[in-house]
Amino acid sequence: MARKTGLAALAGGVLVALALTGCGRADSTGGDVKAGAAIDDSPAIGTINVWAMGTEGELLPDLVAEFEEQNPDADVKVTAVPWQDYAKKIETAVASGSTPDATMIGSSDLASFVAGGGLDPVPDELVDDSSFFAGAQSSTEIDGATYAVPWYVETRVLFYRADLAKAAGVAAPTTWDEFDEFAKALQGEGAEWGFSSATGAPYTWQGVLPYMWQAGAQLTDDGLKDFTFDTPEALEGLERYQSLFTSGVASQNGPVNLGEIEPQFVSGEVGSFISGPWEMGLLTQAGGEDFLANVGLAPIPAGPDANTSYIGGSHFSVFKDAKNRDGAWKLVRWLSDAGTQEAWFELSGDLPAVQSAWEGDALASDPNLAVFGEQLQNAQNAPAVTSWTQVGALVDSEAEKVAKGVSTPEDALAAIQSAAEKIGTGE
Amino acid sequence: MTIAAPRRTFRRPSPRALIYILLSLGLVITLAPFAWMLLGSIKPTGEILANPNQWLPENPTLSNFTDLLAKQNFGLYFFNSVLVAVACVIGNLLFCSMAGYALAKIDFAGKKLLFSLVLLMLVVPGIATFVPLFVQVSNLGMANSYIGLILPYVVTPLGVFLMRQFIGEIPDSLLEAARIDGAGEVRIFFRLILPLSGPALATLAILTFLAQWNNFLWPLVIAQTDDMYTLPVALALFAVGANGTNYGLLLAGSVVVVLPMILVFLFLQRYFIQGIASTGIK
Amino acid sequence: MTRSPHRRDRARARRTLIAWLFCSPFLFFFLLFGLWPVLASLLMSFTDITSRDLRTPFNVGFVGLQNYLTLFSDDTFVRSVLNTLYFVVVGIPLTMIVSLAIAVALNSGITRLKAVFRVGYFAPVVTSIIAIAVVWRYMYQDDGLFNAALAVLGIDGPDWLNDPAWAMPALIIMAVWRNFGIPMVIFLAGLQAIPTELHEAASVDGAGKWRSFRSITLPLLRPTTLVVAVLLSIAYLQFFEEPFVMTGGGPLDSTTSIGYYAYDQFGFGLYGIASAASYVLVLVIALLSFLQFRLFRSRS
Repeated sequence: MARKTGLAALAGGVLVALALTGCGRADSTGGDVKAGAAIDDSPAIGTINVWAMGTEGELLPDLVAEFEEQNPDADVKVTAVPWQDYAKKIETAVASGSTPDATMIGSSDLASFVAGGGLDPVPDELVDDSSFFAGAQSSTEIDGATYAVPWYVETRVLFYRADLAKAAGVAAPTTWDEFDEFAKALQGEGAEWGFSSATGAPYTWQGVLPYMWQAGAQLTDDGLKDFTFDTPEALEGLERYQSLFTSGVASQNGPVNLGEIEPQFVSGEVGSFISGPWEMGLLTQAGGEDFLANVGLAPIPAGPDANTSYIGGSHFSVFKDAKNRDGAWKLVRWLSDAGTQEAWFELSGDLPAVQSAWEGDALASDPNLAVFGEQLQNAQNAPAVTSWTQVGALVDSEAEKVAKGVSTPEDALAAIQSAAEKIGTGE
Repeated sequence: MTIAAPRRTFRRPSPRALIYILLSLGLVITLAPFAWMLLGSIKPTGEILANPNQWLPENPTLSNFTDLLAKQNFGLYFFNSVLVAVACVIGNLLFCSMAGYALAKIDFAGKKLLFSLVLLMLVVPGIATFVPLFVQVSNLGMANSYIGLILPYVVTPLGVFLMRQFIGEIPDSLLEAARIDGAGEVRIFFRLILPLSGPALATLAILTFLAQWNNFLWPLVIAQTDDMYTLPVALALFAVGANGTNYGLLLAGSVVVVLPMILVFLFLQRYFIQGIASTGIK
Repeated sequence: MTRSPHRRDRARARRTLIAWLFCSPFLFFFLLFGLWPVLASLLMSFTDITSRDLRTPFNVGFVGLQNYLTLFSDDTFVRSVLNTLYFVVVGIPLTMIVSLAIAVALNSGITRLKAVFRVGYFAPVVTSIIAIAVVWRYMYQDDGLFNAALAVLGIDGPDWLNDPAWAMPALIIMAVWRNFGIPMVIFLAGLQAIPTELHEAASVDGAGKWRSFRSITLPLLRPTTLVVAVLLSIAYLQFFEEPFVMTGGGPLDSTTSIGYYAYDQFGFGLYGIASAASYVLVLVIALLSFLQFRLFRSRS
């Protein structure tokens, strides 16, 4: 039939054309990435287009009003972007070359954007690297260069029913063994589950990797060239994760969606869980202001090596295709100033990434915040490799099998290691 | 002598009554989640997620709605959504029926090829094409504009397919008669085909409006500044956070988003009923 | 035939011109916005393009069918194909039967509350899935509404969304609920095109309601049924929102569909593989639609 041969010819032609266009990868020019020109101290000028996600996007205009006062010739235009699918939005912007000047980026997503080549390395001497929490700063260093400046951070601590703990006569645990007793005690006071953990929902790895870190595991080699999941320390961490379920302390069917855990905590079904600073607001919503008296916070219990937790948060980056690179970096520099960081905390409740900002009144006075501040001294982010989104999903999947008893920690770890090796670190 | 039979005190329900009963039962089951959404929109967020969940609000409040409507630019987002949806409906109604008529009723060279093309386009999922499409639209200078929002969807292969199927069912005898009377194709199209395609056009309008009203990924990607956002994007911005969803705002927003759709459906449904009036098609 | 062949050719040429004019708006927009993206994504599926390469899209390696081979050696992808087929094979007939039954009921001459019924049955279609996901999750809980109803019948219901064997059926039921309104509307349009005289004639001849339905209504509904079948195939094979919102593809990959898998791969930046997965989907949709064209071919 004419139609069939017509289509076949078209398809064939396309394939041939493709093969013949000589498209193929040029040898990647290795070598160090050089940061661009340094930024001076003159005031910023011109329009600075910025993207920021979620609530931060809605609140940022209020903060930058101060910047505009200090830089009268600058005009900061903030576009609020939904968190949902924001990565696709940034990717398409980079692909088409029409990007804003600067953007907020989730800390664990930074590496994959760096791979796309769309971000401008941080100019030398723009900010003092040591002013930030170590975990935040290290997540901005990818491929030997720094691609973002930390803006705000979050970390995970233990939330527990203080009233149940008091009734059981137990104090917040500081080691793994103490935690086991603690959780059992909460169950003795009527909680169905002493603890709640994610078991395979996206980002479960944020709850699994800390156990490995607490056992002293390092998940990549020093040069970030290879994954090293197959170590005894990592195995110890994964076994610890498994023990939560086999000992009956946590349910094998962990929460899948946001918003599931708070009502269970309020109703007393769940005695404790590990999460971040946003829980204060969510728990108030779920249980009312009065309920907060029953909420206890503590740094997470330590394993054999340390009590390392997960650190997240958001950074600011400037695009390579930015029209106002100078103004953008000046804005980012201003955002990382300790005074601005404090002001942002007061406006949004986001925890400052700059350590000295914690000494200010606003943060020093709140005892709950002190717990986060303490934990931030000992918190890590996922390996800063460009393939992490994929490897993290792998860890989610294997962790689910371990939690639900379908696989053993040894097998799961072996599976993770072999698949991660195939994926590579992207270096 | 006829003896009147004693009047039966029990009457079997007529088939029609039975249908009413079944339909009503089905309706209650079908609408239950929808009703929950409506009730949830006047609950404070804590109640929405409470476990165990109650149907009726303990502390009903309109704050979800007031918070939502107070959001900057909410009216603009609503306007954008309406503009895009209506423009796409008009475009589809006209262009899809034109192409559908040609494919269904005119014998011409290249017909098979063209229809195969339509079918091919039908089956490619949007997520596969959104990046190249965006680069294309951006290169044409249409990013961040209404043109860029509307044009890629102003005529769809699905619409062409739908119209072709429905128009195909119009008897050829009617067209023959018109042609013999000397009417040209354009005349036949506007005077004969379109009026007879009422239900099909109404269906196409509903489907197009629905698809555009709820479209999220394309408006998200094409807008560079937030004055180009449509309702689904705005709702995701307000309600879906990185670490928690504001269910109060989400449900209130969902109610606001649903209402125009229901109105459009009601309006077009009436057109349906008019459309079936004795047309005596076959 | 009194027309000369010459005249016939001229007439055909004129018709061809007019037909292409009628199709020109569609063609214009298709060439502008449809052709290149589809070609580009197809080409991407034959390369190793990732999000790294988006700025230099021609600087990628041509890998032929390698992506497709990689897909089929990935257990998760194979699982997703099976899951998707499971969903489609059960979901499409179920949706069609439910929507046809309701359309027939609505068209059966009831006069009151017609608009109410129509809008009510259409409401699930227009409702945002995130908004009703919460209540559906409650209904599917171990101690939720579904199991309470089953308990009345003496059945001990499963923990639906957490049980790898029952998560998919749970999502199928939800999908049927969400979607039957559209085929219902299309069937209504088709039913209303069938003149009542035919049914009257049949009943005068002594045919019962069911016989009339089988011999008159169903055959005349063929073209409409084809539209519904094709629409549902396209929509259901791309099955994405229910697993995305309700289960995240779990438990244990039992609700991961091809669409969800492709979404994940796009999220990893693996544009080559993700495009290949999308085109596997395209192939399956095309196959299924072809079968349906055969099945529901109008034999007038």
